[in-house]
Formats: sequence, C-alpha cells, structure tokens
Amino acid sequence: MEKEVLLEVKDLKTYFYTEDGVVRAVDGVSFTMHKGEVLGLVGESGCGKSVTSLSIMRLVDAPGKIVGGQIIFKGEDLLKKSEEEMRKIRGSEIAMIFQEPMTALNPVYTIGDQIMEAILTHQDVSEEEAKKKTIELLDLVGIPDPEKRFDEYPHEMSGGMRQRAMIAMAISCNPDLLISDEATTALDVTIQAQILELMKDLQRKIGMAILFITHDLALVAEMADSVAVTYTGRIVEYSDVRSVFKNSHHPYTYGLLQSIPSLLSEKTKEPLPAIEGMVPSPYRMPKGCHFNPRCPFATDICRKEMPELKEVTPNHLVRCFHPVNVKEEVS
Amino acid sequence: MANEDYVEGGMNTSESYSYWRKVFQRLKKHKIAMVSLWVLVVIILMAVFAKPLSFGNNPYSYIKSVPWASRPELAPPGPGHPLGLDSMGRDAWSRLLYGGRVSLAVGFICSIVGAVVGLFFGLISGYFGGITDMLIMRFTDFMLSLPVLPLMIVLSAVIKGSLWTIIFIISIFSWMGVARLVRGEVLSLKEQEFTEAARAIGETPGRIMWIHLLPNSLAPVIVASTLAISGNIIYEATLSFLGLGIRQPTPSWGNMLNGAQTFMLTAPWLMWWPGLAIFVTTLAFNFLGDGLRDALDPRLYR
Repeated sequence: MEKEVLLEVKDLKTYFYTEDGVVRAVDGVSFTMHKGEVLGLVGESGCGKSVTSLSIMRLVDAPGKIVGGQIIFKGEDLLKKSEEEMRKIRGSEIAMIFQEPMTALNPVYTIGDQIMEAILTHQDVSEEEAKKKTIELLDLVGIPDPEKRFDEYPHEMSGGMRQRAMIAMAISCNPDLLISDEATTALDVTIQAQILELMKDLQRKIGMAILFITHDLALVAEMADSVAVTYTGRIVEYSDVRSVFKNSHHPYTYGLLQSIPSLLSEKTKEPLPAIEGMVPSPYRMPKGCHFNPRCPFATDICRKEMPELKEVTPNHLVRCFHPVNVKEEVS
Repeated sequence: MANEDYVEGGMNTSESYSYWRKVFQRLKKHKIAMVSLWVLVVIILMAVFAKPLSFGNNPYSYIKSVPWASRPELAPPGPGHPLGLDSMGRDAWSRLLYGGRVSLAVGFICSIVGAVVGLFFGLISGYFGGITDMLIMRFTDFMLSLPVLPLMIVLSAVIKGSLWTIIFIISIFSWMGVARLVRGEVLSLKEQEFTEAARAIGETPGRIMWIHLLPNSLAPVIVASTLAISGNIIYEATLSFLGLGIRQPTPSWGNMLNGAQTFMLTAPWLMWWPGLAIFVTTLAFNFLGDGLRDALDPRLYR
C-alpha cells in the first residue's frame, strides 16, 4: 500500500530559549505521513506534541524557535518559505483544530461570519457563495438547522457544537492535512465519540490526512493508521497502530498500555500498574536515555547513552536498548 | 444525524440577543448612570438646539439697553434674558448654550482622538511585543510623566488658540491611558486560542489586529473614553479660564467663568451657571462611565 508522501518531518528541532535555560521541546522528531493517512502522536503533557504541530504550521512564538530539521510538505520545505507563502498554506492546505472550543472562536462574531472569513481569506469567491458554502459546511459537520445557526454567536452554542464549527472552519478550504491538537479532550465522552466519528467520516469523504495529537491511547487505537509515541521531545516508538498496540516494544509505551484500566481484565481488583515517577523537568534531563529513571529495565548503558530510533521488527521503530516483547513477534 | 446538544432549553434563537442589547439592559438597571445619561441627552440637545432655545438672542451681539437696569452691562436676569447680561452686555443664556457646544465638542473629539491613537499604539504594542512594545510603552511612560497642565498652558500660549488648536493640544495628552489599557487587553487576548486559530487559517497580522483584537478590547476603551470626556471638558475649561483656551468672543464655559470672576461680588449669577454646567456635565460623564464599566463587565462575554 504505497501511497504518495504528503508530509515528511525530518529531524525537527524546536527549542525554547527561556530565562532559566534552553528547553528542547522538540528534539529530533522525524515522521512521514502519506496522503489520507491518520497519524496519532501520543505522549504525556509536555512531551512536545503541540509544539510539533505548531512547528509544522510555523506558528511557534518567541522564545521558541525552530532550530533545525526539515518539514517537507508536498515536496517543499516549509521552513524555507517566507511568512507570506506560509500564510497562504495555513488554512488552505494545512488546517488546525484546537483543544478548547470555548476560546478558539472569537466571541464577538457569529459562527457563520468566522467560517466565511476563513473561506474568503483563501478563495476567490463572492460573499454570497461563501455564505452558501458555509451553510453547506455547517450541514456537513452535523450542525442542525445551519441557516439559523449561521447567525449565532459562539456563546450561544454548546462545546460540541463549537467544536463542530471549528472543524467546519478547518475543512472549509479542503486542506490536505488537518492537525487536530487534542481536539476532543475538552469535550465529554459521548460528544467526544461523535466528534471522532465526524472526523473519521470527513477524512474518508475528503481524503485528507490527519495528524491526530492526543494523550489518550484509546482514541489513537480508534482513529489512527499509525502511531508515534513521544517522550521528552523525541519519538520513542513509531509504527502502525496494530503493531504498537499488540506488541509495544518500548518500556514507556508498554507501561502506558498497561496503565489503561480494563473492565474485562481478571485483575480488576488489583491496583493499576502505573509508570513510576514523573516526566523529567525540561531543565534537568537525565543523562542517557531520558526514560531511564522510570524504566524497570534500565541498565548501565541506558544511564550513559541516548539510544537511536532503530527498526526492531519490520517497520517498527523503537528508541531503546532493551526493547520488550520482541521475541513473541518472531513466531 | 447526531444532534446531541441541540435541545434548546427555552432559549428561542429568533430572540437571540446581541451583546450590545445585553449591555444596554444592564445599564438600565444602573439608576445613577441612567439619570446621568438623560441629563447628558438634555445638555447635548440644548447645545445642538442652541439657536432656537436662545429666545432670539445672539451670543455675540451687544444689547443696547434693558428696561430693568440702568446699564446693559452686568444687568441681572429679566424677561428675555433669563441669566442676565455679561460684562460686555451680551446675553448670558445664549452664551451658555453656545458655550456648551464648544465644551462638549472639545470633550468628545479629544476623547475620540485619544481613543483612536491609544488603540493604534496599544494594538501594535501588544501584538508585536518585543522592541516595538518597549519603544511605544516607554514613550507612553514618558508622556504620562510630563506635567500635563503646565505644558498645556505653555503650548496654548505659544500656538494661539482656535477651537481646533485646543482640541489638538488636549488630544496630545489624552491617549496614554487607552494605549496602556489596550496593550494589556491585547496581551491577554493574544494568548487566547482564537488568535492562534486566526493565524492558523492564514490571516495577516493587520487583519488579526483589526477584526479580532480590536473589537474584543473595545469595552474597556469605551469606559475609559467616557470617563476621559469629563477630564477633557475640565482641561478646556481650565485653559479658557486662564484666558489661554477658547478666545473671546467665542463663548465656552471656561471663558465665561473667566469673564465672570472679576464681578464675583457684583454679579454672582454670571458665575453660577457656567460653573454648574461644567460640574453637572463632568459628574454625569463620570457616573455614566461607572455605569458602563459595570454593564460592560467582561464576564458578559460568556
């Protein structure tokens, strides 16, 4: 299933130069997305997921700075583009939806006006056409009574409806890549499921690729084709979704999966196996593998050297000296 | 399809209120502000309809004689001249009405100029940050640290005053508060996701400032500008009182006071009315500003 490559992030490095020192929020992240693919980017808070997405949009603000790497989108390096060229790409070719539907819409304009704005920014259409398109979009994202809702203000809508409106805005120009930055985290579970269903549905209809950023592994299992697990600004495990969930090789991913409660498990009465410790402070990264202080399998080499991201089994990359679970797969 | 949260709990969409209507409803509950608003409406209407209200008198013409006084100069109130005549024998009532035009014009125009300039600097400063912010804010601090009244006096003594020079001079010193306010507002709005969302759909900084940041930072500017109107009226009155503002024969409340001070003991009524006009107008603008502050509470945005 070789598809056309849409986005190739190579060795991306985004650092924040704060008064307390340099924070390497994203430190050498590489991944490839094909057309129409859904890539799940998973990790705990502060692992550089959002910064990765903002870097792709080139929206990293001072004190943050993209210091290295390449972001090749449709064969062109976005990091070499001028601000003017980037503005044309934002919204039309790469769109983004945000975590907080409460604050991501401007309170002083109606939903319709804001979506129209996105259309008029990138497309050479008249206001009437834009309005018509907006109503179609509102309908497409499952907002009932779109003509009426067009004239409503964000505060008159519920969180789920606002997130739908955000999605309508994001897909208004048929982007090739949609970045969803924790887009469903702030919603409650039932609505979350509907929004995910909507995104999947739209992805099939429009054929856009989705970079799906979340800290929720369960959502990734449902949404993504492939998964990249990040830890302290680096990818630690990267493969297709089945392989990661069935045979996670990195102790971190393994730990994350273990810590998901399961109703069906016989061991429900036992405490959940949590990963010990916390994500290290960005100012004081441990030497060697950044996961070593929390890793049950850590040895001397883990405390000295940072492992490379290596192919452990075919198409399954892991950054670990002692990948777990490997033998089982060789059957 | 899914219409999960579309159960409208009694809120009829056709009645969906606009933000400003809500603000006005809140303002209506503020009694003092509403009284002030009506007082101001009356004062403004009086200034606008100065001509029909002045009983055929002209603020510039000298009355040759009145039957109830030996001389027209400083004649006490009488029929046709409800506030008497001033030291040059002109009708004080019509001068009060026409003077209101000048004082209100100065108050409003300086406030608007201050708001526009302040918004401009505040938006740029807050949005771009860094060195731009530093330069603009240090300039603002510099302007704020100047002794305003002495400088205005010097300036209006140097540039001989017409109405527009006074407006210019007062405006120079009336934008700093708004600039600081807007900058602060923008700094917080900038962190809200809708600004980032606007950038993510590829809007230019100019458009983001104009259509996203400006309307959202307008509420405190309206309050500040309303309060500033009274300050500007006082400045104009002060300058005119000192003989440096609006020059004779154009009437303003300030220079009417100036003309009246010499005759404080012989014709005190000449002083009462312009003094009262300044007092009531500035007080009303202050109360209205306070009412607006409550009505425009940012929590309304929810």
